[in-house]
Amino acid sequence: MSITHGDRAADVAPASGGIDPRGPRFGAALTAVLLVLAVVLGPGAGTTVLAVVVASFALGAVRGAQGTWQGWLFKRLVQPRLAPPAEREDPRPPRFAQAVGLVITGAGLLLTVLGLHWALPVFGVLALVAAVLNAVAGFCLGCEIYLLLARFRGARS
Amino acid sequence: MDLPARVALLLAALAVAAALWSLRQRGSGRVRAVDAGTTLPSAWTPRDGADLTLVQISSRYCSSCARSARVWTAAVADRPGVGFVEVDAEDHLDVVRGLGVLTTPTTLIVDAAGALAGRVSGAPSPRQAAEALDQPIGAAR
Repeated sequence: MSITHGDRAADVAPASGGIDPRGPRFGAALTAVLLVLAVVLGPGAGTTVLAVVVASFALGAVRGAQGTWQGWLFKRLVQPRLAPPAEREDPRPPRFAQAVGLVITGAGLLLTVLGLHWALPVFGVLALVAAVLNAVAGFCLGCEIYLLLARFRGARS
Repeated sequence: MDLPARVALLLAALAVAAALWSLRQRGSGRVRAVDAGTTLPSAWTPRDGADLTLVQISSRYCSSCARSARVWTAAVADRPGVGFVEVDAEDHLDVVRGLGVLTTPTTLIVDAAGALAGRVSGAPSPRQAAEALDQPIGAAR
């Protein structure tokens, strides 16, 4: 039977084959380790670690997950040892998720610096859950938020 | 918050996430029942003239929509009378809200009359896709 591709989501096929989906998952695993470290160390040393995570998400929000230092490590150290990926993915969902991660960890960092010390573990753990789901299951929590935001936006207009 | 409290929060959050995740996975890719007689808005006719049409609701930032569309496309290829259409959630927010679609991909199974016969949340495995299409239409789901 025919396949109709008339709508936006269907039209936007990943350009030039997309990225290796294992890259963002590897990056999320590194992010998860840093977030555990930040939460365990707590305000002080942990704030510095959280700042590193915020900076990494900022890089990812601008350049995509493949443009972060985690993406660089994946390309240099991990990918050469793996078989080619069975399928490639659109780089935009992981990039959007990086932006969501930036908002969450950025808010936590800002509040912690302002003296609200509960914010580091609370926002750190929130981001950790998303990073672990991404690393372990390939689940993109940030992407789920996009539809919910779109629904909310549509409800108000 | 001292160290034991922070570690407890960390472990509790991971446990809750794991529990919610396994609940979600249990339903993922399977056909869910819909209320009998649920019809799509009459103005919205994404069917392509087939006896049965799969309408996959996708969104711009969706990591499993492409895989889902590939699995459905392969599943309908050897089933005459079954069609596949992919639409963007943002173009049909009224339908998305009306049917309570909270995640993409969500695939609606629409019969020739435009009535909803079932829905599937998440990307199905090839086996789940075949099962969804081989169930008799209108049977208890």
